[in-house]
Amino acid sequence: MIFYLVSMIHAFLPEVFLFGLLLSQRDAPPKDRRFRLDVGAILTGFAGAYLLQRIALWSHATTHMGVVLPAVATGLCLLLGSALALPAPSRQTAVRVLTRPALFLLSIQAMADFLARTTDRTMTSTAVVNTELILNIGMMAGGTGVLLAVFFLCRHAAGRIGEHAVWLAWLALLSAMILWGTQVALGLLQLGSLDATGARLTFVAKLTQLAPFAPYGQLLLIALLVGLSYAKHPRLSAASEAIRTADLRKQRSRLLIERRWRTTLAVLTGVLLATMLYNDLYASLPPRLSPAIEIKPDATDRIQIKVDDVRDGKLHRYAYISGDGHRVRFFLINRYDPAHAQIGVVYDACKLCGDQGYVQHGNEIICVACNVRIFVPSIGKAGGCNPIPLPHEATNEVITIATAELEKGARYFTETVEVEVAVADPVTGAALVNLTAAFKYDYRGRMFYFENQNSYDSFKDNPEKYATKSE
Amino acid sequence: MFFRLLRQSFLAGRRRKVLAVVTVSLAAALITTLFDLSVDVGDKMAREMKSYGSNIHVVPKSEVVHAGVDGVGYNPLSGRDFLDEKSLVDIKEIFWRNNITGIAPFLKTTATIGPRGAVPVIGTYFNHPLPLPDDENYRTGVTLINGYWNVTGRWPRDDASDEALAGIAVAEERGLSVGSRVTLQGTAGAATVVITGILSTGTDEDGAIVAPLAIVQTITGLAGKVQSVEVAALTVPENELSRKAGRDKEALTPMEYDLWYCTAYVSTIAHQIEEAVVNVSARPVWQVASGQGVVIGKIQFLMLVVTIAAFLSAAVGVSSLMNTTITERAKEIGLMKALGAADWEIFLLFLSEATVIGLIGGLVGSAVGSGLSQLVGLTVFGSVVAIPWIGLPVVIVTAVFIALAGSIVPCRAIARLLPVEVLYGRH
Repeated sequence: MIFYLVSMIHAFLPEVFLFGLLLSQRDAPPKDRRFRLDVGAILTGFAGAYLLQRIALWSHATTHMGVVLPAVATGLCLLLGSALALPAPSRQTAVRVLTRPALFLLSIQAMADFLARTTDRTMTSTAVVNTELILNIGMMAGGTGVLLAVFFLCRHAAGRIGEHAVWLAWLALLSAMILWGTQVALGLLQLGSLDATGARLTFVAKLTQLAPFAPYGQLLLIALLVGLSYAKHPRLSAASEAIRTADLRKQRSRLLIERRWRTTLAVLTGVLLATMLYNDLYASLPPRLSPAIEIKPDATDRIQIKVDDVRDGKLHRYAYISGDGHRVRFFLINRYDPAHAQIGVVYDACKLCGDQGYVQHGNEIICVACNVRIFVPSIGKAGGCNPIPLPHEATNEVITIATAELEKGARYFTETVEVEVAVADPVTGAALVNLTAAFKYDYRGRMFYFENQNSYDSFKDNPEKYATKSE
Repeated sequence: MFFRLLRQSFLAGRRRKVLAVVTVSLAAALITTLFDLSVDVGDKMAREMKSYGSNIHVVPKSEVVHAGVDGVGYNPLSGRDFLDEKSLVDIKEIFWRNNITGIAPFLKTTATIGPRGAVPVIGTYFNHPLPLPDDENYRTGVTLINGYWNVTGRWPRDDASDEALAGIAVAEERGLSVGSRVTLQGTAGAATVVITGILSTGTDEDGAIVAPLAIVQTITGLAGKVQSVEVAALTVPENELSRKAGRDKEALTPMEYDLWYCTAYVSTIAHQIEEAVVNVSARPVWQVASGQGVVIGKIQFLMLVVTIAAFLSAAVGVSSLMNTTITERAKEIGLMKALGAADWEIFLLFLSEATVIGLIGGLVGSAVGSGLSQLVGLTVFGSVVAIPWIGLPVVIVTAVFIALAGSIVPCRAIARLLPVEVLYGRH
């Protein structure tokens, strides 16, 4: 449900902030018919975005649309930026002329962005009115209200800070241009219109990683606006004590109202920030694995775990560091009731989904990668999304796992820790550290490390000879 | 200052305020009743759609041929085609076999017991061994997949040839109790069984005798045949990824494609069952959606119309009360204007008053409406309605909107009032 609110912030905040600043630079205050035309431009833009999106989905041209719209928006930003650079009277006229086309085009861009973010979600899983549907609609209504309020408050505050509004508007335009320009570049690379060179890919990839943080940047700019309007805020001067009390009261009342506008904007900025933080730091994160107990083999190269320790039906996760530095996680769970212990011993990885692992919620064991619920009595059997079985010996009291088996399991896991590898360079015999070794080679599911090119090549030419020797 | 004004203005003309609150709360009560009923069923349906387990109904392909006559399902082939009991094992052989938590076959027929005509007889597994290649001791049946089947007495043994359950309705009608002996006369044979327990499920089984599959196969002469299979599976509800894949598989990134391919969606499992067993159709079963959901879905539009009607009539009621208030307090308004109050400040006062009326009316209406919805729930669905918490904010917001909608037109008169006229008394 917070997803819709966050998507709205991502899609609409750039437009809201930008126009809050721009419209404060327009020469005549928006009244009656003017205002109606502005609203008309926005709504037409929204409708246009919806139509375009339908057409793009139908003709499989979403990537094309994802290039054209941000490109238009970026061009518009350049135009608006240069209009703002004009001297005072002509600047107002230029902004007035550009406002409505800009409102229309940026509304298309913002709405298209929002629709693209939400196409694969459904607001409700059934057509009958239900709590989820109402919450989602309520969130969107609330988001609309907050964003509208932010717009009016920004416009008001920007009107109070004089020339500084132009600087802020340039910053807002710049951040929007980076955001949309990156989308254009990425789209062009995907479509193959732009040759994908390494440098370009790296550059675009780095900028793309910034995109999730764009709203934070805009919120920072709004905070700057609040700060500026506070600094520029007129105060009751000492001289004003002398003027008539009626005028003084009027002045006080005006200042009070100004302060309320400012406080409201600051509070709303805080609300938006809190929403974003809640989503990014908590709500949208995947489930976390419970900590694994690090376990070391005994003198006979075996790991022994008492059945009584794992009888309670909870997931007991262990980790073993393999010779080549892989952190091999495995877990034990009682498949039946505590009175009849039948312990499933499995790797914390799935053959299909990889090593993201499994978590326990209540009585359910869930695959983190694909969200499949695992039928607990079937844990220990291969197949489907079940965890990979770990060969072991079991008696009524103790589970015994040979380290040789865990070493074989190292290939299922990607997480590595720095260790001095147990098996040194198989050719030269030098001791190596897994993360810094110059070369490595995966042979029959086992990773070998080499200190230099020579030993690496000689191993590759005749792996049979060295691999068996090193065992 | 503003709040002092508001309090005093609210306390003035109390009788009219009470009337306004009553008008709003009546509408709110009506809306709450309809809303609670609808959301209760809607939530149950949403939970069902989003649950991580579902039952899949497997029948021979010919059973799903649709030939509707006047809206009544009519299928000439129904009940003629059968599945092999042997093929049950195949269902546990699919890729997602570990996600299948249980299987129960069904064979339905009718049999005469005593002189009073036929009753339905259902044959099934209760807790029957079904040896699998990778698990010799696998057992399955209705005791494992239908948690809501409630038995007074004990479950019959699957290998017994003379035990059965009696549905609670049949037991009452035919005077059966635990320990009664009945002879089931089928089309191809007869069997005498002892009733070991009385079954209540809330569905069709209440009106039937439920016996081990082998007995029903004997009396119908359909050895090794079953009519339908119920499969319980742990599944992932359709989500963002599955919808994206459904729209355009090309649009998936390689990682998304792998993930989609390896996720146990209901549709995937149903599809694999259809592949594993010859000539069957497998479909997920939604209990609530096909029961109460149909009723509510059909009358939802009606509810919307009633809600709008209640909204409008209450707003008109509030409007006339507000009109009187403003005429009565014209002098006061004139004085405020003369002292320099802007129009919007006076609007704010009256609209805040309306908001307070809406709040109180909404609260009272919610309380009354929740009680009413229990009454309706008991008479229509025969069960109490869980009061959804979301109803409270929604109804209060609606009630405030009613009060505001009713106040906007009268408030426009404020702008037209001239201080000099009203204060001079020539109004």
